[in-house]
Amino acid sequence: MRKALLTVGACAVLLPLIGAVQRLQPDADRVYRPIAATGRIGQEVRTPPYTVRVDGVASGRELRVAGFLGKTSRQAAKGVWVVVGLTATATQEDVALGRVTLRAPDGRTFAATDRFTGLDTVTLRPGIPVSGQVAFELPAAAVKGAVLDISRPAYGDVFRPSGALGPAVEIELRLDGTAAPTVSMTEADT
Amino acid sequence: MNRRAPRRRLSRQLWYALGLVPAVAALVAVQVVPKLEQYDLVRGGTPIVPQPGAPGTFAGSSWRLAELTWSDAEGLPPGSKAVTAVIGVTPGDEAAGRELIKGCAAAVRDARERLWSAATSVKGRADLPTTCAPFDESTFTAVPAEPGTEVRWQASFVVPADAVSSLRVEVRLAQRRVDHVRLTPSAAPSAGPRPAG
Repeated sequence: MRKALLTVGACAVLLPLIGAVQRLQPDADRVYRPIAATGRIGQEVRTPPYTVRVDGVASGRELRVAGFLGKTSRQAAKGVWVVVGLTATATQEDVALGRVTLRAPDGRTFAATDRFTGLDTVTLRPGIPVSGQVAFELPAAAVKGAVLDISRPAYGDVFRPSGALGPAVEIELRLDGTAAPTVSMTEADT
Repeated sequence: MNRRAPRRRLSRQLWYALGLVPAVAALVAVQVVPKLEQYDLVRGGTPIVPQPGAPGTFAGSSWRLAELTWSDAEGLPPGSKAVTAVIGVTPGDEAAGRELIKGCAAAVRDARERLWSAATSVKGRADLPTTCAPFDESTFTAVPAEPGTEVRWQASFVVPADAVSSLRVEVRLAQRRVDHVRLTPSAAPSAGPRPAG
C-alpha cells in the first residue's frame, strides 16, 4: 500500500515537471535563429560575411529622399520614418546585407522600406567599404528602444544554405522616441 | 574459474566496443556523405589550376589568361582599382563550343582568398565582348564557337588596391557551378589603359 502511494506521489510530481520542461523547450525558430554579433552606434560589428557600423540614426515625421540625377521627393508617413546611416564592407566575397529590420521592444519587427533603394540591396565587395542609409516606416510607439537587426546575407551565386544558425548583426539604436519634422536620406547607387 | 569469468566478460565487452566503431563510422558517413556536394558548392568547388601563364583544359575547352591589367577608372571607391582580365577560350569540339552559349562567369581571387565577381560599373576594353560565346549580330543570339578557334572575351572588376598583385582569375560555366578553372598570371598584373567605362 505504501509502495503504491509512493508511486502515485512520484507520478504526481514528475508528470507536471515533464510538462513544464517540455514547455520551456525553445521552439525551432529560437533554436535555429541566426547567431548575432552585437554592438553599439559607431562600433564596427564583425560577422563572417561582412562588417557593419552604424554611423548615425535619425527619426522624423516626413522623409526627404535625394534620388538619382538630383531628383528629390518628400514622403509623409502615418507613423515615423527612421533613417539609419551605415557603413558596410564584405569580408570574403560579394554579398548584400540581406534582411534588415528594426525590432521594437515589444517584439514586433519592421522591414526596411522597399520604396527607395537603400544600402540593404547594394552589393558589397570585399575590402571596399560602402556607406549609405536604410529607411524604416513604423508606428511612433515602436521607435523608442528599437534595435537594428541584420541577418540572412544575400549572396550573388547560385546556392547558399538557409539562414538557420547563420550570422547576424544586432545594434541598439538608443532612440528616445522623439521625431524631428523632417529626416533625409540619399538613395543608394546599385 | 571465478577469476576467468570477469576476464571473459571484459573480453566480450571489448568486442562490443570494437563492433561499435564501424557502426558509428557508418552512421557518420550516412549523415555526412549526402552533404559533401552541398559543402563543395558552398566552398566554391574544386578548381582546375594550370601552371601560371599556361592554359588549362576545362569542360572540353582550353582556357588561357591573355591579359590582366589594372587602372584607375573614374568614379571608383577610394583605395580601389579597376582590373580587366582578357580570357581566351578554344573549344576542343562542337559540344564544348555549344556549352559556352549558356554563358561563363569570371571572378578574381586574391592571396587572402577574397573573391570578387565581375562589376558592370567598369566596362573594360572597347574592342572585346564580355561574353565567352561569339555573338551573331543578325539574330542577336550567341552562337557556338568554332572548335579550334580561340574566342577572346573580357571581364572587369573593382578590387582594393592591396589585392591587385596577387589576383588569379576563375571562370565558371553556367551549367557547371562547382568545377571551374583558375588561371594564374605569369607575372603581377600591369597597369593598363583607362577603361572605356
